[in-house]
Amino acid sequence: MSASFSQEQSVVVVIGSGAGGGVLANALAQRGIDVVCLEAGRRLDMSEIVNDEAAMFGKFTWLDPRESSGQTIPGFPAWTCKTVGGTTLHWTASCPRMQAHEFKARSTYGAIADTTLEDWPLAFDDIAPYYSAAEQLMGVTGTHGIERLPGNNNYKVLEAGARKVGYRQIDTNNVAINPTPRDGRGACLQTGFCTSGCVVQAKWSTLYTEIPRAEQTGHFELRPECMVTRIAHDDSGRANEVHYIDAGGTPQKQKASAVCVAGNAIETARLLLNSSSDRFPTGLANSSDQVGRNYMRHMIAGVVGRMPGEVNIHRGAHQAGIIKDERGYNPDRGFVGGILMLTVPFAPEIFAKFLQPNGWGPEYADILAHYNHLAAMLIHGEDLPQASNRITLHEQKVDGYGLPIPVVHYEEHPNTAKLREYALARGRSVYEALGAKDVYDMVNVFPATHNMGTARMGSDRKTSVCNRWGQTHDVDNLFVSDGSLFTSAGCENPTLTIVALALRQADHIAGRVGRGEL
Amino acid sequence: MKADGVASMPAARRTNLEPEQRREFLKLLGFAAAGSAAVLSHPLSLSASEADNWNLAGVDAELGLMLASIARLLFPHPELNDSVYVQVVRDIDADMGQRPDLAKLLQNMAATLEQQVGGDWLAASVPEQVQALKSIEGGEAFFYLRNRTIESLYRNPLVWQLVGYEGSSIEYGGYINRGFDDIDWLDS
Repeated sequence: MSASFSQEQSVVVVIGSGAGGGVLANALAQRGIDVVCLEAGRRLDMSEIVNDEAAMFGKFTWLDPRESSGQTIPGFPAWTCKTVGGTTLHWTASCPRMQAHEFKARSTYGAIADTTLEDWPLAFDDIAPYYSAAEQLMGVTGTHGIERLPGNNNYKVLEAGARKVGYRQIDTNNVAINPTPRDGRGACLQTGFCTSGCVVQAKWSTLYTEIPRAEQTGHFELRPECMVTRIAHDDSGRANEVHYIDAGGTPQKQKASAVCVAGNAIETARLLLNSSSDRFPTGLANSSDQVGRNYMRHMIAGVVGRMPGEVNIHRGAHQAGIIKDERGYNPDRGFVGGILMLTVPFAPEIFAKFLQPNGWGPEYADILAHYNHLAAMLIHGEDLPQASNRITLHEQKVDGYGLPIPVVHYEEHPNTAKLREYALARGRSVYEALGAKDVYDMVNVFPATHNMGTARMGSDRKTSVCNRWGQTHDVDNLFVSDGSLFTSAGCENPTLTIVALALRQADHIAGRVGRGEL
Repeated sequence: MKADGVASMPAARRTNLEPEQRREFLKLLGFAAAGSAAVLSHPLSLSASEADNWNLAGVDAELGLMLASIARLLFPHPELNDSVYVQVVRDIDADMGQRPDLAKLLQNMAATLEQQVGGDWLAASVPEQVQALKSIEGGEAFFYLRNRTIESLYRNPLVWQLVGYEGSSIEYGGYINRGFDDIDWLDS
């Protein structure tokens, strides 16, 4: 059963309960380490998860105010989640591993102007066993003898078009979605609502895996609807207390032996910046001035084909379909970084809003009237780190907790523009090869869902925030445990790598606890 | 596909209807007959006296008719009955309760549009109305109306039926046995 800890007891405090925080907290609790997990969002009951995109958006989205700057969606630069389970409620469960060369981005790509590109302080071989453990934990298809999902209509269109244009690496992806019942969770029913929370729990989410399992250890307490306002430290500069506002709006403090921040890249950076003190005047763990910088999201664009026959795109698992031929390093294309093309469905409302951001009139309505003929893919491309792409604190505006709101600034690097043009042309060709009546691009319309790099790992404490274990260079017992750690972005959905890093960090922290260092 | 599963599905869940079945089916749901001359020749077939009975809080009959007409001009689906577009007006009316500035924004927009068409909006031709709407495309009122019309129309189950979106699926067991992979026009 769930533990209940005194606020005076020094425990490991994990901030956030998603892919990073939820996995780390459970891995520590399973080893008998006492953990309090502070989660800003509410714990949804499974009965509240319904097949209704608009309703679920309202239930789990992080809607506290954020300011946008540069090439971001006004007022909503990123779609993150404020709920127990974090973005594992909303994710598509797409779990490709990053490629070995992507951990050596600087060495592989060379010097690129106006970037802060670095190699990761760990190699693929270091993370490989944790990739394997993460896949096992989440039940990733196509790994560990777990069969792949069957392809839906949208996948069959993608596959057929891809073969016609000469692609060969096409399959139904590695997804953390059960094809058959496994690990106490049901099998995928192809409901078509992956991103609205999975009613049958076929899709892995910490809400119904890591969190309840951690509670069963007796070493874990979840405190939902608790918004952390600052991480405090003692005279020696060690983190010793976490301040938060509880569900009733009352300020509280929890003593901490170690603190692990996993609030998604924007909130993690914001919390460190909001935790400035006399000793750390520019923010906690920010002597490098790198907290909040090097903010990466993937180049994300949609390609939509109006096909000659019915597709019924809304039926089935969202991203169980992938073309991997373009993911490698191939400078002959005129840019660095890889590209993935994945199936994606949208509801009529989303097509209506974004197929042409200002579209209206009879021709536009006619496209929408043929909703059941639309096929679509989402293209992910590697995004390069730039110092000027960053999270800062607003100088005047505060949110409902009284905390300065984050300002998210992002400008596209010229490499990204080249990558996008290439990827869109290739994506179009897939649908054109099948006789699409028309093909549409959806560019610069989506808020970022892959947020990375704002407290990055590195070997040099002057150009990074954390070391290879995710421990901050400046504060011995302060860790970052989410996508903020990414030194470079790769082109893959980040969650599998976040989970692998969390499992690796759990080993490290458990080792230090065992040696009496934490 | 399990035959018993199909048989137990409500009519609204069936797909691949024959054209005649589809027309009957749409009629049942309150759609006007597809291709109705009245609908095609004019975007709206409602009168001011009907609009008087909408019982709206912040939108009067004249503005209400204009907004319904604009909603149809923005996303004209000939098969849709005017009532679907009137629902957009009801949603705008509800928004007014939350947004004090909205009434003025829309009144100003209405004045601009009426001026563009030389007075009576509903008496203007469709090309005149379209031209007038194009002149306000970049503005705040247009942005609001486009977005609101989309969120009202394309979340409406009647419109889902028209375009072939099937909505919530869990109560029917998802699509695992109901056509998630039933595509039949691809070359093998």
